[in-house]
Amino acid sequence: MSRDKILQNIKMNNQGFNKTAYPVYHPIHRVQPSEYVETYGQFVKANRAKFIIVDHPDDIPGKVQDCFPNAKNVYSSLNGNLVPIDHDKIQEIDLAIIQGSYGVANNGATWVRDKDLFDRSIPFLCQYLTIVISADHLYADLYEAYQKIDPDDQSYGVFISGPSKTGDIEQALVIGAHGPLELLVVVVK
Amino acid sequence: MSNDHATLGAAYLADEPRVDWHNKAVFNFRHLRDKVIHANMPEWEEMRSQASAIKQHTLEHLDDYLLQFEAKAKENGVTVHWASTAEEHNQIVYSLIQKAKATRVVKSKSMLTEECQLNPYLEARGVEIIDTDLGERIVQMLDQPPSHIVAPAIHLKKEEISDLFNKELGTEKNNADPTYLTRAARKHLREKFVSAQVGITGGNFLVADSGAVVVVTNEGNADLGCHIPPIQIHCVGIEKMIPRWQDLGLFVRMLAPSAMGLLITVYTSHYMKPKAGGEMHIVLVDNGRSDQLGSVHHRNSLKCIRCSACFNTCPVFRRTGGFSYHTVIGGPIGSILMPNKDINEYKDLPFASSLCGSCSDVCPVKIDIHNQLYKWRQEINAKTTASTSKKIMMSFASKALASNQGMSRINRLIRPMLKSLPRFMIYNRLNAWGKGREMPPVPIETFDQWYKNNRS
Repeated sequence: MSRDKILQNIKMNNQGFNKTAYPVYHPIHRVQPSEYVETYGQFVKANRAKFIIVDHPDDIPGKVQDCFPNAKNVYSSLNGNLVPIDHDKIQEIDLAIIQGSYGVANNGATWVRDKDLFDRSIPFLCQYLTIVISADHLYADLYEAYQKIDPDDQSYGVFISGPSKTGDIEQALVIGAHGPLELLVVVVK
Repeated sequence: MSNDHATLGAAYLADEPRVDWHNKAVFNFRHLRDKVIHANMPEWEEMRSQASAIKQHTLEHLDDYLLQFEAKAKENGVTVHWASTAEEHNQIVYSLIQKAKATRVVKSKSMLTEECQLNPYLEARGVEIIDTDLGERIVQMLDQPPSHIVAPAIHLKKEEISDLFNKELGTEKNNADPTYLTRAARKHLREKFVSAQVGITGGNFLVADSGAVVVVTNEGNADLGCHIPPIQIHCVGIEKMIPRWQDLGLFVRMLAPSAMGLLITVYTSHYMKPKAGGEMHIVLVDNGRSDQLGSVHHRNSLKCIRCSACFNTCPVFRRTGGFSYHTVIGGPIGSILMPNKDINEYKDLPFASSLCGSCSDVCPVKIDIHNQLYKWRQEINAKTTASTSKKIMMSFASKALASNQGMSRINRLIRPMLKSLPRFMIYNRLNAWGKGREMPPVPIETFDQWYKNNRS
């Protein structure tokens, strides 16, 4: 059986080599909590996404609509309220508004978990995407964020840092490859 | 050998404007890498040491971590398959496709499936397999392999892609606007995504303690390929293992800057369990990796995370192009990985280097690539037949340079010859160095003579 053969061969070929311990590392967290929102916003914008801050969750629909005035078919599913949608209808969504659960201040990426999605393909098939995140859920960097994220608590999760893009044609940056053409990140204070 | 790196590279170099363009295009990635690391990661060198140490530890305990990964993935409802060889990998993937009675498969970028030649295997069996990364789709339409592991179509100009899309997708003739062409591909590939029955991806990391497969893309194609079709298959080399979920904080942070100078890719996707009503399979592939572990000098090369930083910095890669390496994983890292697979077929690759060491300096996991290139040269000369002219010149040089007397004798002999012999006697097949280079002018006197006259 290949499984045993591979494992056996690894064991054999590792003989005679030291077994070093798992190394200890102390990451340096450079962004201070008081700067999370501002730094996160800077990187979100650097990643070619739009960024707004709202004071109250009630302000979200209006503000988002302002950013995407032409979006007709809007699908919104926030705060664990997983609005059902027919599988075949997902690709007709113009604008999807979804919940993000952890934001990374020093690169502008936001964790989206499938617990907050009715279907995993929603953030990828929609034409425009909005991720809403609470200011309390921002962290300094990936180290901190991965510490907070419990992999056993989700079956799929993705860091999204901007609209889909490609540089595959002569390295020219094109925003809007296979995933959404635009991304808006909304921080709720 | 008529298709060795030197011959293929020389053919590429014949088109000087294109070489200059390619050189600049590839070096741009190196430039962006430096910019993003300098601006954001002052502790970069400590991160490299840490990443290298984690990989070292992982390789030493690889069997344990594979077992831990398998147990966790099974607990998560994932089916884990093991493949010793490329052939076995292809058989496993094909049997899953057959079982699903699938005819259309979408695949996001995976160098492993290139290594295993999965596409031709499936195509020969009547399966339509569509590469969905834009660059890979372009080279697939041209029936070419990728020329670069991160930027598969970097060797092509936009006008060439415009002609291709005009023919294949019916885009406007002579419209080479990258946005226009990308949108056309988006439309074309969306149809494929929604009609495929199976999605295949590679994997950037396997995480032992959580059974996760991590895949990064900028285009979103890996996710579309995994979330729409009912069956998802992840084909990953066993060396992509890292022990802990926490380690992602380090490795994810290092990958995108090293690869293309991005702080992070647009999507960093973590697949733990199958989607509701779907199937998730992971194929763990060895294909020579466990053998490489046994090599004292070369086991380090298994730390590679396929970022391509060594390609982008390499003065030889930039000027000879990806195809001159006659393998899917070329560049400096490919030149130390491939001879392990077939020393005769790839004996030229460790010589496709100036040994400048830049590859080792940029490697995020500190693989000593240039040392290994040098080491391979010794092994290749001992084990295979190097080219005859090289052998003659080397044995001549080693005798001549081994002693003071030999050295001064040869000096006395050659100096007048270099001055008076006709060109064809000096610049011929035996003098590979003189191809494209002029010998330095012969000085008036040797250092010995100068020393005697001036200092003694």
